[in-house]
Amino acid sequence: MKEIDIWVEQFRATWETRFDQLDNLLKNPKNNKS
Amino acid sequence: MTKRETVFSKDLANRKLTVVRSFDAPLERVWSAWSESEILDQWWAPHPYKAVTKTMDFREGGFWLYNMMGPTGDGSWCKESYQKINPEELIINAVSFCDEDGNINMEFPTMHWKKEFSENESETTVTIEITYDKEADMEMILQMGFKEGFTAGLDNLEQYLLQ
Repeated sequence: MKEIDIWVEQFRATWETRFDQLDNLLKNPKNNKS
Repeated sequence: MTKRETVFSKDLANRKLTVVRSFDAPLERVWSAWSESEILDQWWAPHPYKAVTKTMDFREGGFWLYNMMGPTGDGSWCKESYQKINPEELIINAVSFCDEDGNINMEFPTMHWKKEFSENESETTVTIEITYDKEADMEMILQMGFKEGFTAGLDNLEQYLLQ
């Protein structure tokens, strides 16, 4: 795998983790504001 | 509920990355999650990092200054400078590395982000375009990500696989 492809996969993993966290937050309205 | 897919595309010739994701939530709530620092702090940093807001002034000409803190307490200060905001529709901003007072570190390239929001029935879609001024800027970010982010990426993957 080329270096750029590895980086892109890391970039994708970062965003997917981030979006999963937002998904969880949106499912629980009580948790929206800490 | 099934896990949502993140659609990701790269256009290296035009120095552009695009990320598209839909959420099972109304536009108003998704917009709040992208525009209110107390909500952003809860999800913006990918585990095991944590986003800690110092200041947030969400208006055109304003900025969000936050620290992306690592598990050992080390951190990187980031500044999102808002250039255009159409409520519940569009955010255009520049993203830079900076110090804790928001002074931009010119040694690192600035990224340009366009975030578009659209609602279809009960679903909200966010489209993010990230562009770089120069090919060299993208290469620098690439090298930073490869050298420093790859381990974090593997950690994220591990957490994901544990779910």
